[in-house]
Amino acid sequence: MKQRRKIRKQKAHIAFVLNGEPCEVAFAPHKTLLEVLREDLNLTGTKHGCELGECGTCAVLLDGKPVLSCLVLGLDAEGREVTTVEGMQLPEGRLHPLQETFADLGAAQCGYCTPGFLLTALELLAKNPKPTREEIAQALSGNLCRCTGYIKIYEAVELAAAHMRGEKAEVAEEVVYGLKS
Amino acid sequence: MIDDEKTQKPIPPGQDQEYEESEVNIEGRRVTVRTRKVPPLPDWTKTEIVGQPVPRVDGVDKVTGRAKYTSDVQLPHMLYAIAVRSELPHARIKNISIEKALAHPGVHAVLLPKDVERYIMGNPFAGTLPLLTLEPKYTGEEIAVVAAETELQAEDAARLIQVDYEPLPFVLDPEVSMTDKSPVKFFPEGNFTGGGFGQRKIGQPSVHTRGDLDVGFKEADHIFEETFRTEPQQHACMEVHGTTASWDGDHLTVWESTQGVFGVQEEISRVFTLPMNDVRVIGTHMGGGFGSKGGAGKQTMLAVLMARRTGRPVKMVLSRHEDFMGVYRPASIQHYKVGVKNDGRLTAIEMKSVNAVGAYMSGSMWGNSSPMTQQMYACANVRTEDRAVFTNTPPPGAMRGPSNVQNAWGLEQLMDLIAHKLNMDPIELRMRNDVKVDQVTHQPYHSKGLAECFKLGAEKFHWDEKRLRRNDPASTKKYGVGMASQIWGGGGGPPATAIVKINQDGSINLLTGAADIGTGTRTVMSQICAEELGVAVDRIHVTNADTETTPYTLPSYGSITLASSGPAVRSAANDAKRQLLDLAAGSLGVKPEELSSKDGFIFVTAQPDKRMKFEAAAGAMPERTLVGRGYRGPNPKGQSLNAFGAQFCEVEIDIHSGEVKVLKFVAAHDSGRVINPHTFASQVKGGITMGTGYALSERRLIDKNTGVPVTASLLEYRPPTSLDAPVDIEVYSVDVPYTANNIGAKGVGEPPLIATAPAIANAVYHATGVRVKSNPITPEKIIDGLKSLGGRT
Repeated sequence: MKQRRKIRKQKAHIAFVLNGEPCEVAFAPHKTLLEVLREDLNLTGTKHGCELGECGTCAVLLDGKPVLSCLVLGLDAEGREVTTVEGMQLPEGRLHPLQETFADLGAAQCGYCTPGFLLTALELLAKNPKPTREEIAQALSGNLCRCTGYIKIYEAVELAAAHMRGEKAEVAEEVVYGLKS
Repeated sequence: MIDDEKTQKPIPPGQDQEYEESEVNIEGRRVTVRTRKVPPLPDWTKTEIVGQPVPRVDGVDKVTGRAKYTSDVQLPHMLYAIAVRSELPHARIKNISIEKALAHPGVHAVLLPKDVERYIMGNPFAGTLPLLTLEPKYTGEEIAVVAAETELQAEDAARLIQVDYEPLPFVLDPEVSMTDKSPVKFFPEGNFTGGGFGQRKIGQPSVHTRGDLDVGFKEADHIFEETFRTEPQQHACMEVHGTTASWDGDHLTVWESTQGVFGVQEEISRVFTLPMNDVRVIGTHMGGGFGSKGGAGKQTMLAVLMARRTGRPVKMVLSRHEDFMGVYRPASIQHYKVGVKNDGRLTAIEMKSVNAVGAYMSGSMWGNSSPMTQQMYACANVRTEDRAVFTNTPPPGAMRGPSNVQNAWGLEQLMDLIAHKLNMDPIELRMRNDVKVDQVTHQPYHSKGLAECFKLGAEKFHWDEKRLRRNDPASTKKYGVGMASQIWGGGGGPPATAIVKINQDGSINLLTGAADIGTGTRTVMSQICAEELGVAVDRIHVTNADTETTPYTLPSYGSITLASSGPAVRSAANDAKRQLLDLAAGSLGVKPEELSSKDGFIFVTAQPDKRMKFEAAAGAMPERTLVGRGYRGPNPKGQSLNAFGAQFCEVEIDIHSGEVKVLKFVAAHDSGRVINPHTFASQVKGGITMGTGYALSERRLIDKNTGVPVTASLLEYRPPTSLDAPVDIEVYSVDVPYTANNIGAKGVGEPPLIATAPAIANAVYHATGVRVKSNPITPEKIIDGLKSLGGRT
């Protein structure tokens, strides 16, 4: 008679705060936070770009600090606060000023690196509400973008920062019609 | 995709009135296709929505994480597939042991070369590739595939597969491979073939020749002989290559990160002999392509097969490391001999290029670096020879501005060198060799705004003033300026079809097959549709790149997307509008041709207050849905359609460290009408950023002793980060009218990258006197160059 296959519990089970809500999840304990978010919680807004900590595409906030979720074990999130791009929106589904300016200015081109940029910028503006261009470039230097270049991203961060400070600000329209002007 | 066989089919009897032939230029390849004649639409004179910086229609999806990319597709019971790849650059595989892998928990199947040998990718024109091989010809070539329930199980199982290799000799250097000393013989006829898209034969270079070189060199007052080299460039898309395949009975759905869903559909259908209506390919959102995702990849076929074998959906997304063992822009060595008159006119150009193209015919056509030499400057006596040389490296592919980017590195530096020698403004030298006729096809350019690009760019950059500025001899910081120009195709063409549906509430669905690879296709197509219908952009929902719900269009490559699909979208919107105006005419008691549609109203053109709301007209449709169809009509006969541009840059060089900092770029491009200044400027700024990487930092290195890539990660390959990229880029359109299609636009996807790297190299020379002829321009090269100049700066 065929022996009944022995099965063991293989998943870890943690509770943490995900985008402001309590969350419990079971997953294979070797998984990174990136994998837990994408595969076990189906939150695919956080992207994987290299899974080596080189591109910043998977950045999320852990207790308010940006981390590369591909380098953090899911188990490390136990009892902590995790913010992903899905949690950036304000009450009533309004976009966060950063989301608004990234969308309006075309700072998201293919959009794949965008969630990582947004969260890194979110933390930058939390600690420095009026960053200089150089400070923005420094803060975002761990996030790679291959299509947009970085200028539109700087402009979006600057404009969002101004909006968050309650200032009325607009980035100059793109001037491309040289001969006419 | 277009292949030669299809274009040769005779025109069906009775249909020749409706169809005509049209030339399409895709990545430098000129193809004649039969296409439907389309009633011409009047040129837009004044536009309301086209030309406006409309925010991306999918911007919110992208900033909220809602946009689903191929790698985001999660299906119930999905398996993960991983390839076992060759650890050697050339070997014969004596044995593959899979028992341990099959016994590993969660493993469902292993595919070996014998399981897939009847499925061959590619075609005789482009070359074929085995899906899995027992004789790997480059490090990283696929040998087996394993599928398991989790990614980790698949990775572990792949490691448990034991491959016994018999190492074989390998060659990496194309200049060695070309000689008798090559340890590898790739084909009996030789180790190279011609590059480009003409007739190619193994053992023979592809040759373009006109005039008489001897005569040309005799006429010359000066002769320049120079060699330039370029390194391979990797696309390094932020989303790596990947596929998810799922069978529902005999119906297959494939999510593919691709620039062209229809090419992927055709290839799957052909390789597995499946009816096309059973192959649905979806590629709505994708994280960058740059040419690397033009068609199906091996992982596409392997995922489909694995899903068939296991009866479960299968995801096969490459790792970043694997991505770096895939497609890239080939390296080139360019030898030039150029004759010039004292007044700057070119009398002869001889160019021989050597391009390393991997071990297969597949991809070897990209081993070509002479198209700009043939076309860019007026010269009666020209001969170019391109050799695509086989090496034990992965097959290359198209990469943003293929051939022209390599060619520009050499040619545009050469022009700069000549200008300095003749003590002439580099712009003046280029203008003296300006040409209005395509010297390869003998056709006039439909429009050429290059002179306007020079004029505007120079003015905005303050070229005349900056060029004559002298550096402070006492300072360790040296400043310099440089410029370069470019030509590309971008005229687009048929076939492309679009469908515009008007619903009874006046909302609109736009269906287009075009992929949006990040360029803003969905947005500009919505603008074109909205402009033609006279409604706001937010009334339109666009569905794109899904073979089941959208009609055929060419892939988003060759900078053809806008100029191919855009006119089809306008035609479809016009077709829908005419039908709606027919209905509205009855309600308003006038003839349809007396009506216009604008700002959400349909009104009598001569009496604008006699009007009805767009949705009121739609609400009266007896069919409840109105369908407009539109086709991309032919290109004008006997003309070459090309986009032009000039870029100017300023650099700062620290002569102690050799570090180059790009301070400023001004880019002036001739791409016809700008549909959206935001997306236009984004393309140019992104292209210049990528070109800065090509000029200064990006480098794919393969270990000479082992044949293993050593820069197979983003950290080592070094695409520009925010700290490396130029921070000041001004973008201009010269806005030269273009009427070869009904939207007045040509492409701008690839042009921005072409002139960037040589403009930087020319600025480095201007600043330091060091001519760096091989990319990337590393600090070592600058320091070495300064040393050999004897400290002269």
